[in-house]
Amino acid sequence: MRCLFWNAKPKSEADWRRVIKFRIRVMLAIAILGCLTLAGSLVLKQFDLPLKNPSMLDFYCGVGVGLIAVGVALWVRLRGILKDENRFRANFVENNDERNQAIHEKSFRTAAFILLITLYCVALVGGLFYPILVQVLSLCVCVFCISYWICFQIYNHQL
Amino acid sequence: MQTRIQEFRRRDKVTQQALADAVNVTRQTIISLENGRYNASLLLAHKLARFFGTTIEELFLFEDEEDAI
Repeated sequence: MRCLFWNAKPKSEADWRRVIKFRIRVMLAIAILGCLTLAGSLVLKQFDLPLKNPSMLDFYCGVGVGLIAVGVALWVRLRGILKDENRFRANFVENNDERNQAIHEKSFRTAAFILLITLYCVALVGGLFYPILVQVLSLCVCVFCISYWICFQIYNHQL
Repeated sequence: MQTRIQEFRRRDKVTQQALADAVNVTRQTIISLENGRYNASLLLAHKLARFFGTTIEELFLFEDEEDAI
């Protein structure tokens, strides 16, 4: 799964080629998942199901189309990189560049902080109108904090 | 952290892009290192020092950092 993310650190161009091939397969899987989501929601729309919110099926259709679009677009882009040697080399350097990785990590930390603050604010304000929001968003924050603690303990032993 | 990368690069008549290609980083990283906006890792510092045939201490100026401590 590490290959999916930016911080895959291949030691050679052959390793990076393997990472890109893996990502191509992942993009294909995402596109297939999108097809299944779209097909499932279109099929369910044919039946008159007693759903609490029928517009959710339209939302799932949109999610399916979005996944297909993202999967296909990235699949095409990654295949282009694999075929063009100059683009591949530039992509390898760009991925391995330690400054880019530092920027990525810093951005990720900042985004995580903003996400936590946003979740807290939404739970606080939204909870006044929909009390379930407080429980769901608090659960999300707890999962994040526990995951962080577990990862910290693991890396603390590894490094 | 201040570095003498630009000085060494001019001495050896090496462009930023050529240096970046030699040590497998982007040109932007070399620019940031020269401007002192980014601190190189030990590995990159070693690669740069080896490229210019010098030592890490010669290439990177640690005096200011030590004063800060």
